[in-house]
Amino acid sequence: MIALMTQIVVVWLAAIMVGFPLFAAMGLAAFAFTIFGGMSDSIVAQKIAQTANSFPLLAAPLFILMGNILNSAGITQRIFDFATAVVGWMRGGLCHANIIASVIFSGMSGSAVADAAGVGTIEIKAMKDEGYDAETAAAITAASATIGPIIPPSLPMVIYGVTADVSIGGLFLAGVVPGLLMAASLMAMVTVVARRRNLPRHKFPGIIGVWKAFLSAFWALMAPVVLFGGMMSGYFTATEAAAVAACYALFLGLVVYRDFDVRELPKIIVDTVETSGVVFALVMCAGALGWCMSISRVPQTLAPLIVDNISSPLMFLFVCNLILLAVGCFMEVLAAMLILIPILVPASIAYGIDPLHFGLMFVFNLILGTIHPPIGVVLFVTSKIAGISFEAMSRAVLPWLVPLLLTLVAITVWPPLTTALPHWVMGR
Amino acid sequence: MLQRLRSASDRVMEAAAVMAMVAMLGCVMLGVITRALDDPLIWTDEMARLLLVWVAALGWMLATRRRGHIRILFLVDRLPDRWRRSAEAVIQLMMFLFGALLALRGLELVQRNADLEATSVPISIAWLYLPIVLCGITDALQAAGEIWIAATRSGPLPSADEGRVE
Repeated sequence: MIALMTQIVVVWLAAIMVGFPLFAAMGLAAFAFTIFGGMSDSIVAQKIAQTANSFPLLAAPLFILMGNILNSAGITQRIFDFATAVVGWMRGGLCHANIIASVIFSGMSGSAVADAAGVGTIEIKAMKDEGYDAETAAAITAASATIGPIIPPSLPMVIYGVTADVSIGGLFLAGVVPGLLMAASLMAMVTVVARRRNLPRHKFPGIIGVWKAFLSAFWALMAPVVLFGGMMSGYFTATEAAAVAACYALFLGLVVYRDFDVRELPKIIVDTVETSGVVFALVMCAGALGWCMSISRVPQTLAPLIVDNISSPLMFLFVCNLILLAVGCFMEVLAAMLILIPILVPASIAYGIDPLHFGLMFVFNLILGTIHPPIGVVLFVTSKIAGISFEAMSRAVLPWLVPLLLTLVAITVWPPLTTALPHWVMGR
Repeated sequence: MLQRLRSASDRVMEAAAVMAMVAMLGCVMLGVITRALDDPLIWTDEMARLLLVWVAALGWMLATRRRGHIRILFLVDRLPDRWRRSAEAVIQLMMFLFGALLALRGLELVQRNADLEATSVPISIAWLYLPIVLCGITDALQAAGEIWIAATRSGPLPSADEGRVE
């Protein structure tokens, strides 16, 4: 079985590289495994359907819907204007505003794609209008969009929590400090680049200007409070928060700001369903392939192999970083999770690593995969928005990976960065 | 005629996508509200999950129709035109095989589960597997169309609207 699975994985990777659609490559690999392994291949169709039949996954289309509504209703513009008022006076002001707006947006969205397509559209346009080159605007937007799924709420953390049986609330809290660290490291990088390139700055609008921008964006800024309040008080679950967020966005657009044209809703929904479909095709086929791997005992074979050959937990974490970053090159985040969690999580438990620390690291690595080639879903979205080629986008984002990788190293070697807050709030 | 049929099916897909998404959002919110009112409905979770399968499948089909699925094309795009057409034909042939397998095996599941009822809603489990059949049919038909284009149309192959990593 292991030998058959190895051959199929090699053919699968080759198929991806020659241009086969990623989802179908996984689906055909699963069909091939069942057919050559002498099993009934209708199990593949069943696993594909059953993977989507999951309550936590509901959050995926709903977060994307929320991002699209916020954009269409001009609410992302208000968030960006507020961020510009607060930090726009610094050199490279719009780059800093881009990062701050992503931090605010990440408090209401749980997906990097939703961030890039939502607030990213406004950010790239504003930066291009001010004379920034499209590559720089798109690269910073892509890099800052990765903060979205690290700061709660977070769709990948919900899926990780359910699949690996780890507290979702704990994972959410574990993401707060690393998310802020990502923002700080990106802003430090902007400071260096802005000085070197003499990037433009805005005039400080004064306390009254900041206050006005705050009032204009007030109800949008309240979204994280509404979502957290609801989750912490038990009114809704982390998954349902995505539905509440979508309804809240609709309420803001239709009732509070009245900038949303309800006739646009069908088109927004169709676009949302299509974007979700691209992700779900990958996730559903990964569910089938993941099942094939588990019955061919890949996790049971690989996990002890890793544990036997690596003595220190820290070395294990660095090896995991390399594996996850490499896999993130070729697989979508949720799809990679379904396949890798059964392999790596048992090994991490054997090393006595805190499940929250490992979970956050796991998600962080795969999210970085969304902004490096060759797949990089977020790169793909931002390159479309900025109107540049994927190759130019891939080159432009490389320097911005450095501060994010440094943050990854920091959270790898010093677990309290992730574990201190959840342990303090929830106890051990 | 074929063109009209294609655009009619696209419109049906889009209308179904809107209805499924609104219904799914409504179900989740109904669950939240009735629970807050201390009178929870038992069927909202299961119904929302069923609708998610439909939303996912309709998105899958829309992405197939708009050539929106993610592909890595920088190697294939560097091939000479004739080789690229051949490679595309082989890829689409495999896509046709995948679509056909999915549709056939999905249909088996629909037939096997037709008499089984969901736990909290009085509908057949077959509704869970029907979207997979539709995904398979859409993939197979789209692949057949792409093979036809690669074999008969001169000039550059139609580029994807989205999803191509170039």
